[in-house]
Amino acid sequence: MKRFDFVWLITKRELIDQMRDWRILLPMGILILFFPYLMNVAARYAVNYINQFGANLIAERMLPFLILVVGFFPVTVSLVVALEAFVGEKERGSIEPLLSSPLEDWQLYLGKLIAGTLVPLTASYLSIALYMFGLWWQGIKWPAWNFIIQTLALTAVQSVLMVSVAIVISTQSTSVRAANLLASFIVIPVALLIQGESLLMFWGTNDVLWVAVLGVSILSLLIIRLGLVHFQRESLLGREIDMLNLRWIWNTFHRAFTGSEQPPALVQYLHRLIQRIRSRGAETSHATPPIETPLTFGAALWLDLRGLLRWYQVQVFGALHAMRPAIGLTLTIAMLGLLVTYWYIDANLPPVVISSNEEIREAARELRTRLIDNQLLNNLSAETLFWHNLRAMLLILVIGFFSFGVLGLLIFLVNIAVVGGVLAISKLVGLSPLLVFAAGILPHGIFELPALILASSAILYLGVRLVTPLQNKTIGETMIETLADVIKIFLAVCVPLLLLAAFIEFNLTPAILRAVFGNSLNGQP
Amino acid sequence: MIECEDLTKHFETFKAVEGVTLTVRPGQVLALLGQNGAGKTTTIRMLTSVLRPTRGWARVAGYDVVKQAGQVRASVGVLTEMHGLYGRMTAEEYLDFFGQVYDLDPMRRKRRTEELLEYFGLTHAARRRSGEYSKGMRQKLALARALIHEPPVLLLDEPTSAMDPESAQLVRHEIARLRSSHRSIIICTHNLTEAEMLADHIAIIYKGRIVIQGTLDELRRQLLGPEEYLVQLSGGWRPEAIRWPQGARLVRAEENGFVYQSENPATDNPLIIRQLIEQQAQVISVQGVPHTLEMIYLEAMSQAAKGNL
Repeated sequence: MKRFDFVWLITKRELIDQMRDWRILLPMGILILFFPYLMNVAARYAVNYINQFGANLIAERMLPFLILVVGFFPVTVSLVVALEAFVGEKERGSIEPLLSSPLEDWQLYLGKLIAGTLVPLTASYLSIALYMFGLWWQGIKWPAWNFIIQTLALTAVQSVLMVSVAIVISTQSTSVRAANLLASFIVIPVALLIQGESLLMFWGTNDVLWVAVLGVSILSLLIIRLGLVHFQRESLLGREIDMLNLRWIWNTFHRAFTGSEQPPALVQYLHRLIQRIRSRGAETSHATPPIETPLTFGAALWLDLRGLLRWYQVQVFGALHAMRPAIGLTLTIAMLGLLVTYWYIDANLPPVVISSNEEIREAARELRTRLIDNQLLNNLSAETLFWHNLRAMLLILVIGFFSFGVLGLLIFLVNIAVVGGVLAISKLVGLSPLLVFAAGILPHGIFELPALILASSAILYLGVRLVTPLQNKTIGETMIETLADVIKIFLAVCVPLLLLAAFIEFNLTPAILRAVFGNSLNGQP
Repeated sequence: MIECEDLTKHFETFKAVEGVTLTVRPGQVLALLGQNGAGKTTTIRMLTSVLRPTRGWARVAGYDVVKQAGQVRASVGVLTEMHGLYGRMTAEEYLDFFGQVYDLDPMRRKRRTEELLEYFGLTHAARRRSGEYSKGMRQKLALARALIHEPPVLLLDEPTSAMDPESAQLVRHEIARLRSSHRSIIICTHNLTEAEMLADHIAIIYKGRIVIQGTLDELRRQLLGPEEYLVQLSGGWRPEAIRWPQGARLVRAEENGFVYQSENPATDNPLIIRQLIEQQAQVISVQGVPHTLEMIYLEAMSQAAKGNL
């Protein structure tokens, strides 16, 4: 047999099992038949209602959204199959003969993944087919074919995404119950995604939907890769009970964050001080033996300062060193983003927004006034600037954490695009983009941009580490250790850089801008 | 052939198996005995390349369990603690599926499926889903699965549990037949009578450590001392008048007889009986006191708990 034949062998067995289980077939059958009917009724009433007001466009755009909904429900129900793919077999004891067989990990994993995807996807497509048939039967005009194809593609990639997450959960859970409890972490984000897609559909931005198809496909591939990398026969059989070991989590994080098992000297000092006070109180009644002399506060402070310096040298620079490829990639993306945005706005904005030279002159006068009067930054304090930038950075980290860094990088790109846009608009109003960059962005940007780049690189690094094989490390250990690196970079580098940037942006940048452009803008652009 | 040395498995701070060293030659059956949670299953899982040893090495059928995991798994037939059947598959489908997993060609799969179903008396139920099987039938089917690819090494966890006496005997016959066809077999069992009947070698594991191993006679001698004999008499006798040969001693005297121990029963027994006859004691019977594996096992457990092993 060829290597992929074994994948199909596992898939086939799983499919046989599912097709003989009435607990799967019955609800799925009901959903396949009932939901399209329900949606057909909804579509008919909605179309009739909306058409009364002549809003045919809304009705037209609602139909593909209903296709998405019809396709979504069977997947959520049959997700239970994927959720118990590994952990269910473990509970029934049937996984061990498979694990003791010569099948390779990836064959087992892919076999179950394909089986987990085929059934929900087939159910989805059957549902959609019935819904479309219902539309035809009622004489409602079908949406355009490109919409239908897009919706089918979205349904497919969303199914793969949901199943691939479900399989990862199944390999990492210790019981079917635990796996099922985590199902909402799959269904809710995808439901939100569908809501986002529905907005795009109502908006009529079809091209962006293809980007959504691409994005979800990439995310699915990353999750499949994550699952494959962290699929270990050993951990599947090794863990027997659900236990959230907070002490272990904290110890792992602390070790990775500080690089030491010891608490800081000041903490030790305070601990000893408390002990000493307690023992003094106890001396009167219990005559406790004296404890050893504590360090002085100054010595503890000195030790911690040296420790902090060493922590920067070893831990922070070590983490920066480890994430060099991610930094390189983020920098490249930043440069490309900047250039593309600049080029795009420079090429497309003037004819669209500003139709005459008079408007350009007016815009230039407005900008000049604002620059001279410092109106651009007058309403913002250094504190506001800092919090604003911090929020943007936290958004990159949080969104990036749940998307292998990909969405974090996109938010970063939006920030870079703003810079590119500002430079392009500067050119449009007759200012030198280089001079604007040097006088208006660089003074604080020299701190702010590296902070943004490092935060984005750190979260991208987390994503890369999760999908990279690491021997003898569980998914949890990898995540905690890498998260410690991300937090190190955030606290030790990014936050101080943002503080500096905010200070400069408030106190120096406006003055530099006025000094450079104040006089030159008095004349015509 | 199964060989391992210093095989150790730690789960974080828990030491599941510590320094296990074993050898099972082709044609040999080793019984791995121990309490629940002693480390038997973990040892088996390391030998099937499912768990990676923390320390030590093992070779199964000539393959390294870490570096040649695929070959090891292909050479081993495993009967796991839970039979782990797919309840919605028929016996025929189930064996055919595992035949494919072990990459057997269709002809051989068909032949082996038929042979095994017939041997274990499951032919009549071949097309019934295994979910409808009795416990014993499921156990037989699981054993058939372990044998489908005729592996040179067999690791069997409780092979006859839940079986009726006839089925258990059938399985024991099969294990004996497999031993005679030069397979290396490890059995984990709590059925000590079965272990005594089948095993050439016995290893007792306690809290992850093999505390004692050897043939039944070796374990008997080491743990319970020389063989013991019970003499039943009718009427009185004079113990002080017996001259005990070197290596023999009185263990206990009873009202109608006594128990003695002898390192050389072939020479000692006639001497002792002659003296009894000379005393005109009425000897009713002389019989060896059975030192069962159960006694050996319990003694080993007791010694291990005291830290003497």
